[in-house]
Formats: sequence, structure tokens, C-alpha cells
Amino acid sequence: VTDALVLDNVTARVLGADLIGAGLRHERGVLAIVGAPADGAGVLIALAAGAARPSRGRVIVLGGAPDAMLAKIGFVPLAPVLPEALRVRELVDLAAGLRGDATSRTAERLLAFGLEGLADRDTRTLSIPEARAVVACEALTSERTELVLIEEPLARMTPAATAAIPRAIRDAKASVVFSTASPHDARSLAERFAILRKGRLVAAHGPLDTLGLAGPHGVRLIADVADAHALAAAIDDHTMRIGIEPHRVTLEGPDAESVARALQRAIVSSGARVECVRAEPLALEPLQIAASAQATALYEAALARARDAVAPPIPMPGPVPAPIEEGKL
Amino acid sequence: MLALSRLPLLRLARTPRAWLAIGAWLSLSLGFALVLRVRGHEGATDRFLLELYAPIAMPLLAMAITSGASGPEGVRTFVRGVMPFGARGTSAAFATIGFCAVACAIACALAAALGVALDHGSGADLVISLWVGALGGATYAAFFSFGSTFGPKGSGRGIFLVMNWFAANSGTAGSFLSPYAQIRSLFGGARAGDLSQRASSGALIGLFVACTLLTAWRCRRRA
Repeated sequence: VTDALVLDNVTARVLGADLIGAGLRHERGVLAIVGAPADGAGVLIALAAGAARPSRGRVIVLGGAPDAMLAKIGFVPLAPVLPEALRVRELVDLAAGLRGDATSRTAERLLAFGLEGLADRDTRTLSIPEARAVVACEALTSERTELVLIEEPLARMTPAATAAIPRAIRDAKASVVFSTASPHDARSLAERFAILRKGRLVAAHGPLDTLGLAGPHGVRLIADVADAHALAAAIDDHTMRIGIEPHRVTLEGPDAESVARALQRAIVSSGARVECVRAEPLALEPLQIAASAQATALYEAALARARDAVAPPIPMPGPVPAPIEEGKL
Repeated sequence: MLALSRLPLLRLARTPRAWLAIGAWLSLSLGFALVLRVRGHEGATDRFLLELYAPIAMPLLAMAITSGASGPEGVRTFVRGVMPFGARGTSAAFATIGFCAVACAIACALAAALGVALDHGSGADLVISLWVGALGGATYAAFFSFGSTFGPKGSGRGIFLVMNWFAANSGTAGSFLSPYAQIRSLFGGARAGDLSQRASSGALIGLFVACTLLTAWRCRRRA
């Protein structure tokens, strides 16, 4: 199986944002690149789309150079430039012709993103959210795209497109790689994630599980419950920070396991009707700090193991010399 | 390729400002031809072709068509607009130049022929104005398309226009960079350096091919 995206020690600088020595391999599915534009998240997407070139390293998309794979790549930048003087319907038809999609599906595709009202609009008259929605619709509903790259999929879009995107990403036959500064968006849309901080990939993990990452303020669990006060009163671990809102209890503690256990005991002892327990994703910065710390710890552990492995062997004692008998000298 | 060449056609058709510029240069050249006819100048055809049409009206008409079809920011930006939708940069560039070349060839040939007809040119003049107009128009389309790939917002196109005028009188080597020098020679004006008229035709074809290939090469990547 050809990997959807491979970055091999890639360094690049685009519009003041850096990506430094990034290495990443994404086989298929939905990958979130979590980081702000200044962290290089947009740079990574632009490199994969062929819209920027690395100063060092290699970018391989679907087994080849990005420029050789354009018909299989959909790209939704933050500020798309559309071909001028076309109606939206003509643009989607043109793209269908170029990619090899059926042009008879154009109306249906626009309808899926709530864009049927824009079908006869000139592309020059579209606002940025409208243009992004059109590009996202084309990329995600095409049957020929194999990789769709999106910058901030749930931001700067028309409301109808924002509502349609989670489902479109789930149903897409193509692999999807998107950048976002919102861990919440990453968690709600992606199967896997990579975290960027100041141009460096500090984590590239499997399924996004914020329970596995405690930020500087610990882990926070939220319980949606009918009687919030009863549940809060039943929490027996007083080292936890407890927040009470109508029908919601927030519990903050040093690690996932202790918070989960405290909440479990409280639910059992109070008999409260809990509708849902969920982990609140960390905000971007705590997430980046936590991921950096985890990466540093892993690196140091690996370094220590490597040092142990190459440490010089303890010299074995040689044959014990026979005791010198008295009187033999 | 055919689908991609519809794009510059639609842009040109749906941009009224481009038609204003095209209309202005056509009106200027035909107006000048009419004035020469009314005043009964001797050698009006030559004066029309060599004093106004070849140096001014023809390149500016071709530039107006190329800008109208490929956008004010040049071919590279125009091509980048379709690359996110699956188009290869080189194919889109070839399609754009192809359309511009055909449109400029038709417009420049018709403008030259109409001017010659207004000035009562001979049948031979009419034929020469048609084919030199067509060849020159196509060459200008490729020349300005290549120029538009340089500088911010396609500003290289203007620099190429100025270079076209200056290089025309700078000897044989310099005239290779100037479609005007070759067109002037083919219309019966001063030679392009030491080149014969036959060589000038070849130089125009060579310039067209070179500019087309170089433009496609410069548009091959998205970044």
C-alpha cells in the first residue's frame, strides 16, 4: 500500500513560519496536524500540496512528488485562489473533467455542502468562506482524489459547509490530512494526530486520546449529570479541583487514572444519573507543552538505554593467583 | 487540454474591461488608416503598417488580448488557479498560450487586413498583412505570456514590451528578442539586423516556440 504522505527530514520556511527537520509517515485515514500557523502547521500542508518547496529533505505524496500527483490531491488553503470568470457550477465541472469524475453529479455534490445557491455565481464574487467551501466540496466529494489536504477544516467556511465537513471527512474515500490550532477539532475529526510546536514535530501518535496527555494543570474530566451537586459532594478525593455548573461536574487532577477512579467512586456512591463522561481536550499550548515533555522524556529514556547498551563491560577478574606458600621465596 | 483552453476564452468573454482595451487599439489603428485614406497620402498602406500598426497598435492589441484572457497577474497566477483542481501546470500553460495565440493571430490579422483594405492596398499587400499579422500576433501572445511569468503581478509583460521596442534596433542578435524587428522587416520596413525576410519568418516561429516552451516550463510547478 502506498503511503498517503511521507515527510523525510523536511525543513522549509514559508511566509515567516518554519518547519524544522520534520519526519512523518501517514499511510491512510484522517490525520490532524495540531498546531498554529506560526508552529508550521500550514507549512506542512502547503508542502504536501506542492504549494511550497522544502529547502531540505523530501516530501512524498501517494508515492511521488506532489507536482506529479495533482489530479489525485485536493487542497483547501485558508485563502484559495479560484480560476477567474467561471461560475461555481462550471468550476466543479472543470475539476470533474480534469480529475475524471462524472460531471452529471455536480448539482448533487454542491447540494451536499449546501452550495446549490452559489451554483451560478461568478467565482470572482465569492467571499473567502464561500470560496473555501466550494474548494472543500470539490475535493471531498470527488471520487478520484486520494489525498485531501485542508487548512482549518472547521474555520472560515460557510455555516452549511462547516456542518457538512465532519461527515464528508468520515465518508471520504481519500485520506485526509488537515491542520488545525484547535485540539477539539482534531479530536472530533481525526483518527490520528501529530503535534507541532515552534516548527518541530513533537508528537506523532495513534488515535488522539487527550486522556493520555496531562497538561501543566493536569487532566480534566467532565460529567454531564442530572444532579451535579450530589455527584460533587460524593467526590472523596479532596486533592482534586471540582467545578460545578448546572447539570455538569468538572474534575481536575494530576493524572487520568486518579481522576477517573475518583469520579467512578463518586458516581457509584451518589447513585447520580450520569449521561456522559468525557475528557476535555487540552487547549493548544498545554497540549504542545505536554507533548514536548512526553517526547523529551521518551528521548531521554531511549538515550539512557543506548548509553547502558554501549557502556564498557565490567572487567572480569582474571584467574586467581595461587597463594604463595610461606618459605618458597 | 480542450477543457482548459475554455478557461481563457471565458475569462476574455466575461471581462468587459479587456474588450475596452481591445476596442481602443483596434479603433486607433483603423482610425489612423482612415485618416491616411482621407488625406490621400502616397504609400498609405506602408505608412499604416510601419508607422503605427507594427510598432504600436499590434503589440498593444496582442497585450490587451493576452492580459484579458490570462488575467492581469499573468499566466503563472492564472495556471496556479486551476492546479488545485487537478490540472498539470504545463498542460494549463499550453492551453492558455494556445488560446491566446489563436485569438491574437485572428485579431492582429484582421486589424492589419482591414487597415490595408481601408488604404486601398493591393491584393499582395492584403495577403502579406494577413499572414504577417497572424504570425506576429501568435508570437506576441507567447512573448507576452512568457513575460508575464516574471515580476510581481505579471509586470514582466510591460518590461518585455519596452524590450521589444529597444531590441528592434540593436543588431542581428538583439533583434532575435524582438518580434517587432521581424514583423517590421516582413512588412517591408528596415531589416532585423542582417536577417533576410525568410529568416525573419523563421525567427518569429522560433520565438513563438521558445516562449511557449519556456512559459510552460516556468508554470510546471505550483510553487
